Amino acid sequence: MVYGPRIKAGILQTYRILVLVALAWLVRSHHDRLRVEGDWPITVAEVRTFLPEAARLRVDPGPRGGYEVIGSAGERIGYVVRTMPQSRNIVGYSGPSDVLVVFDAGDRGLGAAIRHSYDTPSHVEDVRIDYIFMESWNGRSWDEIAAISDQRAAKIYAVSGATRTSEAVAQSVVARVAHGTDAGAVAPSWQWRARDTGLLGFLGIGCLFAFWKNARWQRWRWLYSVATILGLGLWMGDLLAQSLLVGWMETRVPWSATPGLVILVTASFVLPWATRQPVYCQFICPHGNLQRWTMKLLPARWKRPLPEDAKWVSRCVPPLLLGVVLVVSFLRLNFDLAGIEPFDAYIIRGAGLATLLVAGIGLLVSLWVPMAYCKYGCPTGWLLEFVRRRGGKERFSGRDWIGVALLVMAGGLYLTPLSFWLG
Amino acid sequence: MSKTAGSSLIGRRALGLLLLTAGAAGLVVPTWRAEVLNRRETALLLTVQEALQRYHVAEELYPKRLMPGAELVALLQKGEFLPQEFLNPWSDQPYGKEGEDRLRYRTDPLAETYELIVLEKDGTEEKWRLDSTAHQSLEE
Repeated sequence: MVYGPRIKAGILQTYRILVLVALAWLVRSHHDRLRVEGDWPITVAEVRTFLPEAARLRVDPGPRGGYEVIGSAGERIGYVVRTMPQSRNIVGYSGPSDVLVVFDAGDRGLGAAIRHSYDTPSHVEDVRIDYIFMESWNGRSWDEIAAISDQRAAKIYAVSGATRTSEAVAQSVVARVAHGTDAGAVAPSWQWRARDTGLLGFLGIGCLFAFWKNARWQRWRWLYSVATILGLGLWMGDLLAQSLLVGWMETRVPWSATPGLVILVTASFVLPWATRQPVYCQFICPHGNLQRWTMKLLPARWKRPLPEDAKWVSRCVPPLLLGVVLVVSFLRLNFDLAGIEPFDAYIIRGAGLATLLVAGIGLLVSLWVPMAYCKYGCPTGWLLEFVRRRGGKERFSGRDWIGVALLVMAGGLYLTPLSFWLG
Repeated sequence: MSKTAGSSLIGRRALGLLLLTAGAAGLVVPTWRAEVLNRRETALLLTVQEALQRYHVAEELYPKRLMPGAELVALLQKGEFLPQEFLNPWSDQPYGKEGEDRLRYRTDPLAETYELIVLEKDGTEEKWRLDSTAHQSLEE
């Protein structure tokens, strides 16, 4: 028995799924970092005033939304948060203040400093130099600070001459810390609705058509195809799209709110990866199914095969669009990703002009070039095909090199500060 | 395949790929430029706001009348509340009377409050606003 080709195929499949996981991780980690940093990221130099041994800061994407302070040996030596933007509505004399609050490794306050303030500068200066006030949080635990409801009862006294500014600073610290307590976080509740059952039904029947090749069963495929267009597409509007995938990567996968959709998306990637069957693209996708109907409208003799060069160039469209998706996501550009794909056109009332054009032109071209959009335009389909196990002799193909290129691009965007690109 | 035919094939494909790349860049460049301008405008607003606060500390009132950005910047520079080299984000030149200016300053009759507004390109709608009452910060 020859194990070589199997091992090679296994390594390649592992590589392909790892590329996707790495891309998703880079996007998620980048957006977690931007969320925590806000407009004025905390720097190590600021923290060293209170923790001289601080070597670097590690973003904490959890509910506290601050940074872990890391020492030179890699150990966690403290925690730091800034009060903005959570406290932006707490106004002193004429504006809110952004306060740095540093905790030690045991989550006890070490010190606070006003980083920036929109309040009147003379008042802010009075507060800044009042060391007794600025040390009000020292020695108190995170939970003790979060629980403060009465400043006087907690022995935090306003600064004379800058009463409103100092009170606002104190309220900002308490509000920010309380914002990051577990008690303040609302655990999302698990919801399984009829819609989720419907999505699971479409997935299950799609799998039956993909894997059970019984001729009597397969002759009903046309009915399933119509059902996906009308039900999954026009009625539910739940199609896999870059806007959906990127939205999930940037924020969170909505396991509890739309579990059916999460299962459909996961299965759409895992099934072709594990079984070679492109279940979503070939059986479930409403737009793919609609193209299968439109390509039957014209007689075969009217079809016009693309020249080889045009095919080669057209196949570059999906990876280029994926490059656009990465740029839009990493630079947080105000660009609606739904417009590069036709899938939002199924939500007829909410569809934008761009998505309608992509859908309309794609369908029109598919009259002459069968499945034109799927073959030459779909970035989501390209991703699903990228992870799909191939038959026969597996080798590191052009598609795999494009995976490397996308990963390098995402890595470059991740490592470069946003200010480099946006000024 | 002959050498000439091969190079012509590569040339056609390279040209096609170049055109596609240009198209993809064309998709993002306008929004990228808009984002760059947004960041410059917000930086301008925050710097002028800080200078206005320093002006208020020194004069105990805000500047007393409505004025366009160039005039406000000149006033704040005169009092050394703003650096002399201060760039206009729309013209990329030092702020002066020349070039586009979408910054507007307003105050109340007693000069106790301020409004800093950046207008949209057509000059009709507000794009950004900072004031001393409800919009002190641009952070979301």
